[in-house]
Amino acid sequence: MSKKYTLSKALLVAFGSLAGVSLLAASICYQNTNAINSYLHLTNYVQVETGDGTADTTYYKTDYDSIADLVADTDDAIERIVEEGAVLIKNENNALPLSKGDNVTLVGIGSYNSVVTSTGSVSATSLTGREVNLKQGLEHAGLKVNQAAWDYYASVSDEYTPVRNGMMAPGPLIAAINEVPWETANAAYGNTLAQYGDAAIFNVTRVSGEGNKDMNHSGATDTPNGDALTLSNDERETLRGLKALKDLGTIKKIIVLLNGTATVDLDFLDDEQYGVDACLQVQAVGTTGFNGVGDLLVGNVNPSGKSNDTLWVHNSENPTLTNQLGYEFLNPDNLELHTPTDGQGGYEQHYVVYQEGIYLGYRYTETRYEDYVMNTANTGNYNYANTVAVPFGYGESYTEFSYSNLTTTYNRNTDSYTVSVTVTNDGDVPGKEAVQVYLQKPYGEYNRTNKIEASAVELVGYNKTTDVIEPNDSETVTITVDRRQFASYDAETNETYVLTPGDYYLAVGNGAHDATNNILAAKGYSPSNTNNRMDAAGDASLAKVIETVDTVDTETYSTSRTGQKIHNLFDDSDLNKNEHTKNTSPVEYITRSDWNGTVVLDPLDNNTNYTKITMTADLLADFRAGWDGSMLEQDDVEYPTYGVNAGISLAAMMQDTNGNEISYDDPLWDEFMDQLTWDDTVALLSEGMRMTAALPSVNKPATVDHNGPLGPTQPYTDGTLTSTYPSTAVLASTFNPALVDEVGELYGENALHCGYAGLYGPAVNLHRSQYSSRNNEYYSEDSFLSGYTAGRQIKAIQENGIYCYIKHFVLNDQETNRYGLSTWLNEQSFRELYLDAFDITIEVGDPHAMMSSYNRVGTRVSGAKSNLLTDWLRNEAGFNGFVVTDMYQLGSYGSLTFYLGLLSMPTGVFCGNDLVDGSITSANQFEPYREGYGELAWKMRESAKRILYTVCHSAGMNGVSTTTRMQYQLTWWQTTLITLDSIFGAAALGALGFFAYEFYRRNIKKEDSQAN
Amino acid sequence: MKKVTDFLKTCGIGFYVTFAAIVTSIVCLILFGVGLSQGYQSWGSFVCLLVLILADVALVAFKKEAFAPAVSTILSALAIGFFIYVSYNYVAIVITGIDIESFNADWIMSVVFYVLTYALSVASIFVPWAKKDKQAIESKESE
Repeated sequence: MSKKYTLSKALLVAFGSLAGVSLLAASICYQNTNAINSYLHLTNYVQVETGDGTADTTYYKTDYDSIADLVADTDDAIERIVEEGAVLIKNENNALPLSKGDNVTLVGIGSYNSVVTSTGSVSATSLTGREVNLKQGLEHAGLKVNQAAWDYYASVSDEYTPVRNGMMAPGPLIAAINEVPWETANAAYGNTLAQYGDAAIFNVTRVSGEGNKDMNHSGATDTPNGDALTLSNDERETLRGLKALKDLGTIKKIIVLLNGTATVDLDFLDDEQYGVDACLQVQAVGTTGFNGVGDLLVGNVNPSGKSNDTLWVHNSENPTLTNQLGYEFLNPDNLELHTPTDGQGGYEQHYVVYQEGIYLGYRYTETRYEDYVMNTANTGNYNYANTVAVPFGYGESYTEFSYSNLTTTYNRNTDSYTVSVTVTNDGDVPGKEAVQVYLQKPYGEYNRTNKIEASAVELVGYNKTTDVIEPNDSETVTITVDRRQFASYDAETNETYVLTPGDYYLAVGNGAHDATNNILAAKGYSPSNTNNRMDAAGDASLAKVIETVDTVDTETYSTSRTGQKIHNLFDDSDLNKNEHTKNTSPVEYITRSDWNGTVVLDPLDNNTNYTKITMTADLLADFRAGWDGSMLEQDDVEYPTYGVNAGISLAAMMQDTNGNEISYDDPLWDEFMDQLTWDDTVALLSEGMRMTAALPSVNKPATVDHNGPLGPTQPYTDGTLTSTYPSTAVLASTFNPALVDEVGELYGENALHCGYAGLYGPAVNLHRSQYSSRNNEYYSEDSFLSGYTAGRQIKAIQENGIYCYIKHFVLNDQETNRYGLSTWLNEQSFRELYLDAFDITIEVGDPHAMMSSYNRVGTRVSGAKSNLLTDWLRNEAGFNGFVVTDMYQLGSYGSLTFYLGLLSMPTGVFCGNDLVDGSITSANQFEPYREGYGELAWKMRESAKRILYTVCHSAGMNGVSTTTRMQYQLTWWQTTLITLDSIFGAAALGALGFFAYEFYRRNIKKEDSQAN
Repeated sequence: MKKVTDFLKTCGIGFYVTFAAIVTSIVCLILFGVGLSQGYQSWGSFVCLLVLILADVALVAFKKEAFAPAVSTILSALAIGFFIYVSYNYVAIVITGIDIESFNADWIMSVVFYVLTYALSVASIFVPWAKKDKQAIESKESE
């Protein structure tokens, strides 16, 4: 009996525990149903065909019968992107190409721990097994690689990996570079170097990615100044060691590869103590990109990439670094600012000011250089050679190209110029060349008086030769330049785009610096007449005054492409204009009228020269308006009609009976939308974790919308793992629109075969500096290169029925303190750089979705700014699609309550942010607005319509006809959980009964024995 | 002191196991305080553990210790349930690896001590609370 009693207790504990676990699991899983279904490519609504099933419902067809073929083409494209996007930035004495059969040694721990991609939303679920490492890439190209050195680095790769702190942990991202000391490495394999001494190839790697930290300016323990983006002491010692061996004749050449997501200081490149002969910037290469690197090194392919960024001798020469990481507000009134961990969220501590204005990257270096050459007052003793290692747009080749016959033709119908130039191959080997067109706007008295800044050059067009040009052959390259780019934004006087008085130049050249020198030459400057301030003789024939404006033109570009009258929209994010900051926290932006007085170079983390902002009660109240509901006011507007049974399914909204697409403004859409209930509408807006929700009332299927910017991260439908494309920065460096089209088409095919309807990416934030952890996903420091590349790519992707969510709208240009970071800038730089990248993307690519950003634009996150999402994005820029938040969690994990205190979804919808990217529904947030908020209700309906319209014209509708019905069905994991719950629950109840019985018998027996 | 000594002389292994469960519960409460700002700690767990400790002490004080193992087991199960429910997002974020790349020590220690508390509570059900119980059982079994 005692044994039975013990058994009853054991069974009760066992089944009680199992029942508890299964109930808990069910509770958590049901809370995250959408996320799980999306991840597993499942839906609770199966499609049941009620018609004859004869209609062709594959609206977006694939060109691939076999996923294996698609994988092969993708991996081939990845190689070609690297071949065209790697930038040869130094090649002294034709050190490259190497000869096939050369014996080479891969040097440095980075040669083994080479960089394929970064972390975060670009990360695939796991390695595919198809990854090509650097050694394989070189051997693929016919080089013989020193096995002893390779084996040595393999054996110490765990020990000598960079020391990193977690994204949310204290301390810098990179605590140590941790290169193998040269003495140690040389002792291990130095005796093999003579045999493999045709070249020593030193791979410099740096990796960062999505998160809450950027590359650190200080705190790395093994670099000369703590900066993670300079060569470490051991890396420098390695190069010195190689130089010594080169001097001894043991090795013949030192080749440096720059392989990573950020570029280090290039101070070592021309420093004789390191003896670098050639340098190839390859960045993050993707799954098979090292095959392309091998092909480039041996000359199977001639390099034709151009730098997508300005590369600095010392990154600290970049003036943006004085205001980059995010600083704490001055708080003299001791206002209680919410912290991430106080349970109220809000992230109210940090801000950043774009004090550099429009002078970002080459816009700074080239403009100050031009003023220096022209001996303009207040330029200071600017030394271009000590500042810029590689100009934006620059790239070398194994051959020599010359440009001639620059012609320009104005086309009145399109208000654009056609620029053509003849490219001739003057060298000995075939090659491609990317031609870049730069614009110089005037910077005269009108600009100075009205505080309209103008860059010496800005990229306005580019194209690449269609194929390789053979030696002594030529090709004429034609480029279209939109004249709208000639306008400058006048935020002070006319509050619109204007053409300022003066001469407008167009110039071509091998990068921004070449173009600047060509313009200077056209102006009559030369090294000799500038006392050698001008560093090279330009070619005046490659630059010309294309227009001269006599008086300011305030009309021509005062309306947008959509016909919207343009006026200031963002005074609230300019410290000098926001009513809560203009008196307490004014800022002096960099102006070319006074370089000396306004450029502050002080990039150390403990710098004191950053712009200060004082927090006030009024400012803080505006910080909280995105969350506290204060923007939503009760009204007496009548609510939309809900729940009408009109029998119109979403599939019927694709085309009318004549086969014509039903436009967004067609009255039939009103009839269709009347069918949705309030709950349908809320469900559609509040369930969006990598998906859009199914709506059975209108037979809308759920969609799978997933990462990421470097290709789909989820497996193909047959389980094959997807490849990772090279960094988008590499794609941008190709300067090849035709290749971008091809890659976009492949992205679309990849996504289609992953079962996606929407792709989270690409992203067109700018490289404000090399330190931004997310540069791997962003194209460039330049808005035109970013926007045009993204636009072409997106257009090609979307032709496959995949809508792209463009990330991250807007100003998510750094990761440090990204949640709620308060970002301030003037309207000219906002419009001409950061919004311009999105504007060009929209114009060229017509993206159908957009992701708003975590950071504040001024006081509120972008999802809570109607001037941004409605007035600019939709009305001015003409964006036709829906906006989703970044990953939305209000949840219960402290420092990761991403939007707590920042954005409530009703406020977001009111401002134009249509959908939430959250695994847990935010439907309860809408509950208080069922009555008395008619304006909000209509905006909810509009948001729902945007989502439905987008899905209606996507691959998400493949398989859905007008007679298809959505039928609720449990997924396999739900059925499993219910079954387990039932079994364990019943077993626990049985065990309880058994226990009660035994307990009763035991006590009766006890009583009996006591009675006896 | 003598009373305590006399009391301990009557205690069987069950007492010590339950006592150990109370100690691990107290450790969990300390870890709760350490990790509260990280957000993966649950106030529900806190309440359950506090009630567990107070109830066990009260049951001993009022000589109703026979119910202590059951109370400990139920409350520690609820505590661990609340803990899992609140911290699963944290686990998801760490696994995703974007913002947090590894679990922090407090969370790991919490997992260990929650599991220990529950295991000890379950164990206390199956072992005799007092020596006399054990002797009585042994004598009855021999009969």
